[in-house]
Amino acid sequence: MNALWDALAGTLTGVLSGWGVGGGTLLTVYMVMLRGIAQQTAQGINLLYFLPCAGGALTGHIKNKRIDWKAAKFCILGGLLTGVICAFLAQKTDAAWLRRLFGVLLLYVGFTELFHKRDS
Amino acid sequence: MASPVASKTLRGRPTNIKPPFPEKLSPGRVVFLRRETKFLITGGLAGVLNGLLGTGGGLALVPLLIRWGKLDDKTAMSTSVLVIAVLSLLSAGVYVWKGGMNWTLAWPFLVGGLIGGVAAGLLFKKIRGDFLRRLFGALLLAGGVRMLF
Repeated sequence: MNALWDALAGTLTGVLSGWGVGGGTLLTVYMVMLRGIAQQTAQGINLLYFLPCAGGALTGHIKNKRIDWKAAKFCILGGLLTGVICAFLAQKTDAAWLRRLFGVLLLYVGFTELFHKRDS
Repeated sequence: MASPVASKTLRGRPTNIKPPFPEKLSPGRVVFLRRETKFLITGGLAGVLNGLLGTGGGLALVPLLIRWGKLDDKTAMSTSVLVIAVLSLLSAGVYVWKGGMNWTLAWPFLVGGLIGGVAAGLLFKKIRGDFLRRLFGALLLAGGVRMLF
């Protein structure tokens, strides 16, 4: 029965994740708060869940010609470089301060996106 | 600083003659980065967040691609899905390799994610970008609260 609810939650947040609007955040909240899954495990499942989800969504996005390939190429290049370095750094440093800082930034950007002018 | 020659040429003829120096080189004007550099930095930031926090790369990508990279909102969103998918592939690999994965717990989410993802790809055309950005804003607020506490 739990598996059914999990699949349903995955489907609903999967639509949001496939649109690129941050469904993973919601799914992690569901796993940690409603299902009592440990934060670390939830983050791992969240990472893994995004792979089939993105695969499904991208077939549509590519067909609709909604990918800016140049942007994607350079973002992936930059992201892989810093991602690997920071994954190693993360084991040595406490990222709590970055987490807080990022939280504040998210609140700011969240407000501006929520109330953005229509034509911008 | 205009040279004497240039000021002589310009005197009394305010129109049709361009100033001797191109406008974009005048002081106080921002020198623009190349688009490639912007994308490289944007992706790099996403990598820092994903690497250090294990999440959040996508939340940084979309606003930056829209505001700084000047992508239209829907293209920014679908492009970020591709970028994060590649970065997640790497992180998920490391995660499974180092810590293993509870597959009994994980598989319903994976199946759900696939169904949701396919639905997202099919519905994307019908959804207004404007609505998506507001939805994104609301979810960012939720993410922000979660990061703080």
